[in-house]
Amino acid sequence: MADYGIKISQAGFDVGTVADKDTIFTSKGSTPKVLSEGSASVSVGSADAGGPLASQGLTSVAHGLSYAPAYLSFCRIGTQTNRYHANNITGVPAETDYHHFWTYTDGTNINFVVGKNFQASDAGSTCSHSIYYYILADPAE
Amino acid sequence: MADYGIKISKSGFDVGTASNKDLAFSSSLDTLKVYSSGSINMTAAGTATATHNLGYIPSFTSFAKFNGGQHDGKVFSLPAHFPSFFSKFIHAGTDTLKIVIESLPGTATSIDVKYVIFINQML
Repeated sequence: MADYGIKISQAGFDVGTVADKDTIFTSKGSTPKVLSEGSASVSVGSADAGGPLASQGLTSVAHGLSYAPAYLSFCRIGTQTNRYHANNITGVPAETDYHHFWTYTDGTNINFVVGKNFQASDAGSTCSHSIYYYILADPAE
Repeated sequence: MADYGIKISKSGFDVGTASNKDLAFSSSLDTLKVYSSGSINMTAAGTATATHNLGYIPSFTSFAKFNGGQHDGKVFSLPAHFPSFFSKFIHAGTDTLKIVIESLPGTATSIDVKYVIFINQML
């Protein structure tokens, strides 16, 4: 069968001879496809004191797929302004605690977890964290 | 030379006036292009290697599915580090020849690492 497909070169490159890495698009390589995107929030309570991850919050969003999809996620810890952390981050200092953010998918949901290292000086506080996520059509397993 | 290219707008937006963030595709913007992907099962801490032979350092992404233990069936993007039940990092890296994955499964009996290497040159 003849070679066929679609290729778009970057500016300054001849599409007839361009290397794959210098293309904007080539049908030789599939591209990640965003299935859905949205925002969510995770609240972390103030239930107890002491120790790593003394408090954790979990928010789950159903993705409607039969497999665990790939994803991108970003989290703004507490009241930090315009500072979004990607996918997994540990030890973010905010509001007198150290916060940790993880995302994972399974066959049903995309799940966002925020935990914090509770400190006695922060007794009684709760935090809300803003999430933005992209669920990709491409499987992560 | 006249302005030319291909643009596809998201539903509800006029392709003639849509801003980049409201496009599904634009030939003026680069896309991530998959070069190869695969899975590696790891039953213990260590290093696993996938060779790509691109001759440059490509962009990549990777995920780990936990089998057994506290997080059975969950899929995390890498790198990931969980202080309460992991004593070491999981992280992915790459060089001109291979993508290297180091892991310590913690309470899991094994992990399945799914990696995707992009054609896009990082360095």
